[in-house]
Amino acid sequence: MKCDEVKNQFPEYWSGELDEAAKFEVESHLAICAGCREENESLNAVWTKLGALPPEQPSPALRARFYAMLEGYQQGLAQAKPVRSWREVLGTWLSRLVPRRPVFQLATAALLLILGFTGGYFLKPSPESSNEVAQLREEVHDMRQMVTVSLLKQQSASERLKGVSWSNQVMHPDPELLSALLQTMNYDPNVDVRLAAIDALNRFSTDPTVRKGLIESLPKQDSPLVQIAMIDLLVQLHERQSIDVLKQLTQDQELNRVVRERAQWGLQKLS
Amino acid sequence: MSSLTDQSLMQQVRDGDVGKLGILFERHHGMLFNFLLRLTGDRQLSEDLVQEVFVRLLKYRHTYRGESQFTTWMFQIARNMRVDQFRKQRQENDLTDDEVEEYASPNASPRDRLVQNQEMRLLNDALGRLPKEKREVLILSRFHDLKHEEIAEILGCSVPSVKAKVFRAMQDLRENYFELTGERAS
Repeated sequence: MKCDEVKNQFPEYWSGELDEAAKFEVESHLAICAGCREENESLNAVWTKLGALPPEQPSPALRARFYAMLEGYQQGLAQAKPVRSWREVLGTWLSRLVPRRPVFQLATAALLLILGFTGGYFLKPSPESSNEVAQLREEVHDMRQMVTVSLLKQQSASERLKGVSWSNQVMHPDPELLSALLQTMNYDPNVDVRLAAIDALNRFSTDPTVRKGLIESLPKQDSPLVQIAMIDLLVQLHERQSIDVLKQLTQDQELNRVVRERAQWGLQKLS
Repeated sequence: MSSLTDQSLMQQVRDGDVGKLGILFERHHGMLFNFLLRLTGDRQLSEDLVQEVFVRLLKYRHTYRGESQFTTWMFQIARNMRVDQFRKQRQENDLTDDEVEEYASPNASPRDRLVQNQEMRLLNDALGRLPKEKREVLILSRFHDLKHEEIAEILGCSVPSVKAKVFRAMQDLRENYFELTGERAS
């Protein structure tokens, strides 16, 4: 065996994958070739150390993300499946029901028409069923509010952003939702989330607590971006109650210059 | 349940029982994560890539034929995807190939934090200094108990060529390691 051939066997030799004959060949070469012997020893030492490198653990978020993805995929499948099989089932059913001879087909059609009219007359929608629909609608609405509130309490900024955008699906916010949005606008550590909350609150600006919350929050904000967005919104709402606060801002010399100028602009618009 | 082979599980996933992918995830995500982490030196990127591999396993489940090992297929998908990923990043950041290699640069801070032991850290650094192809073949053969036939299938080359690549990669690794420790290669 040549040196090169022997050396290419080294990795398998080290991991014990060689069969007896091949192993014997390698070892008998090593016995007579000092160069290969040295090469083997020094590489084998590194190979052994390499095997001792400890494996790393991924973060728990990886598992959570995987199962969320899998669940989403399964739901997608479950929704897609019935459509396909229903169509087939319905097709075979209908073809069995309809008679083959045209005369009978006509008779069946007339019969169905009469049945339809009589049925329609007796089955006028009762007030109860429309009640049920309304109740259902309300439940969905409540659920959206719940989702929004719980998303707003999440650790990750992107989840909270999602929460803010969920609030767009709510037509009539309950006090809990409004207070969660106001809370987010006031205290969320992430500027983007606070800005999104201001946008979302704009939709509910007819509510006096929202306007009051905006005015109270304005001087407490530390981000110029957020303050400017608030001033713009207050001007857009023609909220004259904010004049005092805006005056305070224009006189605060420590405040960001751009914000001060914006407040001045707001004052002119409102007064 | 645990006696089910990877192949039969993946066949069930292919035939519509996609929940079974959970078992395959539990069995192999750690190993896949380590493969990608050693290749990229970037924890977050590696986690993203693991997730993406499993997304693709689902997406392409119809193409699973069950002839080769499941892990071989998984590594093939991971390799293809990694290339895509790097390409995308390169386009975004306008990186050259050399810079892409630097993802596994020895000074990558996550790597430093991960490996406590000094000797191990140096060895890890030496591994990170290998060119991507050599690092890859070495990782597959040393850390994942893969037979040379499987590695050949994953890399799309012959078995003798895999053996030669592993050997040469080991020589380079030793050089890098001795350079870092100040020893002389014999």
